Order: sequence, then C-alpha cells, then structure tokens
Amino acid sequence: MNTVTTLHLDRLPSLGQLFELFNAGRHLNRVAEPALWAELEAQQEQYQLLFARLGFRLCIDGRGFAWFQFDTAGANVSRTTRQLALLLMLLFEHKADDGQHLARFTDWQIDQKLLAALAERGRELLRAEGLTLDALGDLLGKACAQGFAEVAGGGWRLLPAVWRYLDHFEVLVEQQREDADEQGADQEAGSDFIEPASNEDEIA
Amino acid sequence: MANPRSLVYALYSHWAVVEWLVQCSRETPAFEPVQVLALIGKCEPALSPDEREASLRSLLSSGVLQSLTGDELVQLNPYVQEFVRGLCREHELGLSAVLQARVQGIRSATAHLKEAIELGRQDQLRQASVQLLELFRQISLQLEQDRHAIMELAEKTRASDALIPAAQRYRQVLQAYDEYVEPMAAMMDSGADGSFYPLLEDATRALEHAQEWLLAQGALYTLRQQVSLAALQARLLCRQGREVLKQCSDTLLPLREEMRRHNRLSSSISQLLGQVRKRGLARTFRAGDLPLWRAERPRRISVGDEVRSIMAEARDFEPVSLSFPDEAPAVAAEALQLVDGAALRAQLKASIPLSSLLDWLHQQHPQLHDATLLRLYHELINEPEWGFQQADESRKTELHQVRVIHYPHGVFEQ
Repeated sequence: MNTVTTLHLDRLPSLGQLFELFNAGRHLNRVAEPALWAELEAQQEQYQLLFARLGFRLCIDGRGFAWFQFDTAGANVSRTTRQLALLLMLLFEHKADDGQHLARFTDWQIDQKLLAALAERGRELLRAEGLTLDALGDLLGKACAQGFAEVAGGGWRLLPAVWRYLDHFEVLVEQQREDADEQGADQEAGSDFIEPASNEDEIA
Repeated sequence: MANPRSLVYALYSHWAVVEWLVQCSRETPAFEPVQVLALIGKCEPALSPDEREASLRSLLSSGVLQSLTGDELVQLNPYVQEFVRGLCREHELGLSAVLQARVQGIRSATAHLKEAIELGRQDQLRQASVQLLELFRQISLQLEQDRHAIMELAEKTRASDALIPAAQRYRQVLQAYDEYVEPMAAMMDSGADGSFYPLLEDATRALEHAQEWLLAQGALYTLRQQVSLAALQARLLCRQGREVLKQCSDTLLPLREEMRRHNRLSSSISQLLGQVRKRGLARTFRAGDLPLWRAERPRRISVGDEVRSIMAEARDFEPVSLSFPDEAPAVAAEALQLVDGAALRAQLKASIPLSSLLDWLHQQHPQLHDATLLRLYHELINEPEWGFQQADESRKTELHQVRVIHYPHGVFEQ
C-alpha cells in the first residue's frame, strides 16, 4: 500500500538556498552557518523527503554537518579529494605528535607557519603529488569552497565536515585489518591441505 | 587542642582567606608565612601590613592554621580543610577501597544486630543500629563527595587548554575511571560479584525484623524510631548508590571514549601515511574511499510533454485531424548553362550604348534559359566598369517562361 506523504513547501523557506549549497557539492556546517542549519534541523524530514524525490541523497550527521552524497565524481574532484586527504593526514599526525587531542581539530588555527612545517614534514609525499607550499594554500581554499574549512584570523580553521575524512580513514584501516585477518585464516586453511598430499607421497 | 568556638569564629572572620588556602592546598600542602600574608592582602587589600600580620597570628592562635614542627611552614588544620572542602565541593576523589571497606563494615554491624535480636539484648541492638546509621551516613557522604569530585574532574578536562597534551589532560580521567568507577561498578554489580546491594538488603531485612521484634517485645519509642530510621537510610542508600554510579559513568565514559577515539584515529592515520609513503596516494585511496562532491552544474527543472496529455484529458480535448497534401514529384533541376563571360562582355562593349540590358541579352542570346539570363543580368549591373542609367518607366519583357516587369537598365560606356 502506498503511503501518501504531504510536502509542505511553505515550511521550507530556505529550500532554494539549501539546494544551491548542496548541489554545488558544499557541506553545511552548524558552526559556520547556524541560521541555515537551524532551518534544516527544524524540517529535516521534509527536506530529506523532497530531495530524495528529486533524486538526491541528503545526509545529516549529528556532529553538525550535512551534505549531498555523491558516489562518483570527475577526475579533478578525485584528485583534489586525495590531495586534501594527504594534507589532513599530515596535519593530524603533526598535531598528534604535539600531544594535541585530535577530536578538537576545530580549535586549531592553521597559518602559513604551520603549512610550512607540514610542507617540511611531508616533503617527499607532497612532491610526489606536485604540491608546493603555495599549492597547500590553494588546496585549503578549495576546502573552504566545499565547506571543509573556513578562513579565520589570517589563516584557516577546519570545520566539522572534516569528520567525513576521519571516519573514512578509520573505516579503511578497519577494512584492511579484516581483509588481512581473512587472508590469514585462508592461508591457515590452505596449509591443512598440503599435509595430506605429503602423506600420500610418503605412502607411495 | 584548639578551642572549637574560637576556631569557628576565626573561620567566620577570615572565610575568604581560608577558602583560598583550601584551594591552593591541592597543589601546595604547606605555606610560607609570606605566602599567607600575600593571600590575606589579595583577599582584603584595605588592610595595612600590621593588620595582615595580626590576621595571620589570629589564624595560627585559633588553630585554623598550624605551624609545622621544626619548620617555618604552616599548614591548614586537617579538620578545617575537610570541612571547607565539603562546603565548597572541592573534594578529592575518594578511594574506592575506603568505600568498599565501609560497605563491608555493614556486614559486621548487621551480624551484631541479628545476634542482639537472637539474644534479646536491646542495648546491643541499639549499638548495632547506631553503627549501621553511622556507616550509612559515611557512605552516603563519600558517594556525594566523589560524585562532585568526578564532575569537577570532567569539567577541568573539557575546559583545559587545548595546547596541553591530550595524554596529560585525560590522564586523571582515565585514572579515575579505572581506579574508581570500575571498582565501584563491580561492587554494585547485581551479579555474584557485587556486594553493595546484597549487604544493604540483608541489613534492611535485619532492621525490619528488629522493628517487628521491638514492637512485639515492647521497647522505648526512641529505640524503635532509631531502628526505623536506619531501615529507611538503607533503602535510600541503595537508590543513591545506583544514581551516583550512573552519573559518574555518564560523566567519565564519554571522555574515556574520546581518548580511545583519539588513539584509534591517530594510529589509523599513521598507518595510512605509511601506506602512502610506500604505494603512493592513488593506490592507497581508491575511488570511493574518500568524500566526493560534484562540480556545480546549473540545473533546470521543467515540465515534460506528459503533462500535455494530462491537461488534454482534464479538458476533454480532442485534436482535430488535418489531412496533409500528397507529396508532389520533385522538379528536375535544369542543367547549368556555360556562358563565355569574356566574349559576352566584349560583345556588350561593342554594342553600347543600349536602352535595355535585359532585352539585349534576350535578343542576343535567345538560347539561354530564363534563370541563366537573369543571373547574367544581375551580375552585369553590379560590375563597376559599366555605366548604367535606369529608366523612369517600367517595361514588360517576355522571356521564355516568365514575364519580367522591370525598370530597364540602359548601358553606356563609363
């Protein structure tokens, strides 16, 4: 039985603004755009239903950010997201070595001095990707355009949407661990078949 | 031995100083007189140096502060320290072992109570009930103090400077969870390992039995009231223990998870960076491993043709059928006629002046088709080497298939 759901468009005054933001690939962060976030949170189900009917998947994370989920992207975007992942990993490793709590990344101030330190730290890796110190600044600019960071205090500050990268890092490592465990189990199972063959040889 | 009245009076008179000293005593157990004088000056800046010295002497003589033997240092009276900490919620986190020892104390007090009932000794029963009341009071006080200590610990951890290393900031949280919350949870476990609830329930049953026994035997009202109060305190303590444990866990567990998440994330990032160093970025992160977004595309939403049929149905529209004419056979294109342009121009030059170029062309070249003739006519009238004079009156010229009404172009030499 089909259930009829009513969409109350009059309750969605920021529909156009939100659609434009999400369709551009940007993330909406509660701390950066509190008014829009409040609107989205107030009518979350309606927005999700409407966007779903239009063919978009709106994801809202309880840590205070939302985005349209896209499973494919062009070559430029793929390259940019990988480079941004590399920059974030270098940054988080640097901060972890400093003893800073990684979950408080929204408090960090990223300035040219820090970027220079990261460039020195990951010189080989960045060179392999063709990333210079200036390119790191451009990369952060792209991150700002997509809602992963914002310009603040003469530098940049990361926004909660960066949790998407951190979650992906953990999931990836967990998957690799599981794959390695499965491979280990398969190898052990495979070795059991070797022994009977050697016994047959001995019998022969 | 300090006089209690003068001690309390000194506490009242110098409360601000004592409160500061209690807070500082966490980091500094003993103070130099100069430090105390500076603190008095900070709390009461209007006092002169002599008055500050007088305040210090008053605190020492009343027993609020005690001189350490063989040293110039002074320390807070332990009773004063404990009392002020209790009032200001500045407790240290108590030892779970102390709590456990007190809980175990309930066992022996309950045994005394049961023995008193068996032997019919009301005096022993009174002592046992007083002992139980005192234990319940101490356990309740410690639970309350520990609850506040843990909440302060959590608040300090959250509020502390982000520049302080995470391990340092969370060290106390992890320590408190491992050394206090987990043993307490084990003690209050409802399973075989938990001793808190079984002992309290046993004490409660024994006290209720004592109440019934006293009622049957007859006893002083004060004794019956005391036993009844102890039974009530036992029941309240059960609930308080559960609430305090839950609150302590709810306060510390998220912080502990934060630290664990930090460690897990840190090791994941290190592992992935190692892979990037060995295999490269593109091989480490495949398509779909990372967040993706789409470059902005302008989108238009328009109505499809299906809505026309919907509208037609709604208005009962019936389209009118029209019959289109049959397709006519294609007309064969005439073959192109080659014209010697140079010879034609030489002939024209020899023939000028002319009154009508079109008529001359038709007369001189009757073999030319109408289309070719008209094309030549339009070419010639646009050539600059000839002079043209257009007539004022129109003329009709009959070609092979068409009749041309025109204002003749007369030609003369330029």
